[in-house]
This record gives sequence, structure tokens and C-alpha cells, in this order.
Amino acid sequence: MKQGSCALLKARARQALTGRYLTAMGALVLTDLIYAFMIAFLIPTGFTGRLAGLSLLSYLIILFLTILLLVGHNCLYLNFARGSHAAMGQIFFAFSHHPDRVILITAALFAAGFVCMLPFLLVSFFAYTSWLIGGMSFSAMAGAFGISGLISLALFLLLTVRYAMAFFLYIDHPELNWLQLLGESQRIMKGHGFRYIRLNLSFIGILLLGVLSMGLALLWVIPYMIMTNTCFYLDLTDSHSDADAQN
Amino acid sequence: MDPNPSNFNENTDSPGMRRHRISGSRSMATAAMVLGLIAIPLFFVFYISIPLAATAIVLALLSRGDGSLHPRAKVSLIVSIAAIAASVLVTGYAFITVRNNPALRRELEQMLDYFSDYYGEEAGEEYLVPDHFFDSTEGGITI
Repeated sequence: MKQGSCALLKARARQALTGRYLTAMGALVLTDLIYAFMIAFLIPTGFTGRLAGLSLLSYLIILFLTILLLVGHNCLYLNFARGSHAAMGQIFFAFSHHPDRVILITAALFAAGFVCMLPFLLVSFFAYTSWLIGGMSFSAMAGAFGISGLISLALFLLLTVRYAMAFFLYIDHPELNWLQLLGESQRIMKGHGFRYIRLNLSFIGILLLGVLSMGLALLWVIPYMIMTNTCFYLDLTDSHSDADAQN
Repeated sequence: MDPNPSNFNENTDSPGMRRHRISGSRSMATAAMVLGLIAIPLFFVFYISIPLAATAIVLALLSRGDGSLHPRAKVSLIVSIAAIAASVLVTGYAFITVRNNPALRRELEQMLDYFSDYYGEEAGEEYLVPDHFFDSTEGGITI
């Protein structure tokens, strides 16, 4: 297998997870249970008017708490991959190690994601209103929807891929602030974006099998996907360390 | 001694052993084979057979670690793919047969009507919930 290829990364991920699926699945189920609990009990209902903002605020808090838990998964999987001690409790890692950085990175990525979606939102708004008042045919409106959607998706993918490693770097580099983490992620992902997209697209088949199994097999598939992304990060950092050492 | 009994590695260098390296999880391969073997006789119940077979395929594929597939995982893959194929064929054949045969469809509708009459809403209420349940004077629920 070619060094750093998708097949090699997946093989490494499978081997790193061997004998550790129970911990990985336990962490996944625990995260889902916490998320379900928060959705069920932390969102106030029945508020209208100005108080509706409270619901929105609780949604935002739940979102940030969930992201903190998901970053904890990255910590757990990094320990799996490195053969270090890994326990289910590590999913709470980000709560005690500068959670503000995770929240700031998430907020920045959400804001940038919203900017990426602007072409679609603006074009679809104007196209729809033009169609309603009869200034545009239905096919032209559909075309405007499609083209602006594709542009927004491309921008969004470009952004997501560029900063995909920020949360892994946050675990490995506690000395960096959130802006430096984003910059470092951009630096190490340079020239590897297509490989990252291809790697994640290659999970479509196994995800379909997971869906066919009524979600049962996703208990194995999701840890496998996270571990493969972790191996991708380790592969990137190793290759960059080698390049830095040569220079 | 291997500290983790679920892992298995075979020495590939010694003569007489298989040339390819086998690694991964034997327990997952066994679980995959068991699920596949359960899925195959149940191929006529697609909503049991297909989820079991899909889970078996996922387990078989993930059990190989960074080596090649364990023989049990290979068996599981073959059996599970056969179970899914048989299930899709049988379900598809049944669907097409019912769709193209008005007499059979009428017979099925009559059967459905019979069961609806027998276990229907009105009959079910009479049978399952006693009248005094809704009467608040006897400690029941008022609606």
C-alpha cells in the first residue's frame, strides 16, 4: 500500500481499534445519551416573543457542550492510535483544558460557514421573490438555486477542509491560542485537501451498510471513521515533522 | 502470552505458515459469521435478514485489522451477501406477484379486512379496556 494512502490509513485505523471497540462504543453511546438528555431537559418550551431568545440561547449552549464532547473523542482516539492509556472519561477532556479555545474556534467556523452560505441565501431569496412576482421562469429560478448552492457548497468544503485539523492540534498543542490553531491547521492541510475529501467520501459504502443495519452497525462504523481521521492527522503531522527536520 | 485474547497475529516468516499476515479481531470475525449464519435462514423476513447481514458485513470488514481477512470473516461475507441477495429477490418477487395478480391482491385485502374487523379499533377498545376504566367515580380516568 502506498504511504499515506486511504487504504493504508484505514488499515492502521482498524488495527488501532482492535480490542478497543468496547471503549469507543461506550464513549459514543455516552455522548449520545448526554446529548439526548440535554435536548430533552435543557430546552425551555412555551416561550414566545422576546423570551423565544431563551430557547435559542439554550440551543447554542447545547451545541457548544456537544462540540466539547466531540473534541474529547478526538483525545480518546489519539490515545488509541498512539497506544497510550485511553479511558471513556477522556471525552470530557475539553471541559478542563481551555474550553474557551474550542468555543471560539467553533464560533469562528460557524460564522465563516454562514458567510459561505450567503451566496445561496441571497440568490435564492431574490430568485424566489422574482419568481413570485412573475419576473423569472421556474426553470431559471431552479437553475439559480442549483448554481448558487454549488458555489456555497464548494466554499463551505474549502473552509471545512482547511480547518479540519484544528481540534486535533488543540489537544496536541496546548500552548497555541485559537487563532494560531486555525493557522496551523491551514498550514498542515495545504496540499492535502483533496486527499482528505477522498478519504471521507470513501466511507459512503460502509455508511450505507450502517443505515441498512437500522443503525446498529454504526456503533462500529463511526469509531472507525473517527479513528481513520485521527490516523490522517497523525500522518500529516509526521510528514510535516520529517520535512521540518530536513530543513 | 498475548495479553489481549481478541487479537491474533501469526508469524509470517516461519516456513510452513501462511505467507500473508493475519491480524485484527477474531471475536469480531466470529460474531460476523454467527450473524451471517442467522441471516441466511431468515432471508424471507427481509426486515430481520438485511439488518443482520449488513451488520455481519461491517463486522467482517472491520475484523481484518491491517492484515487480510480471517477465514471466518470470509465465510461471513459470502453468507451475508447471499442472505441480502436472497432477501431482495424473494421480497421483490413477492411484491411483483401481488402487484400483477388481482385475485391474490383481493384475497390479501379480504384477509386484511378480516383482521381489521377482528382486531380493529372498536373491537380492540371493547376487548382491551374495560368500560369502568374511563369512569372517574370508580377510580378510572375522566376523558
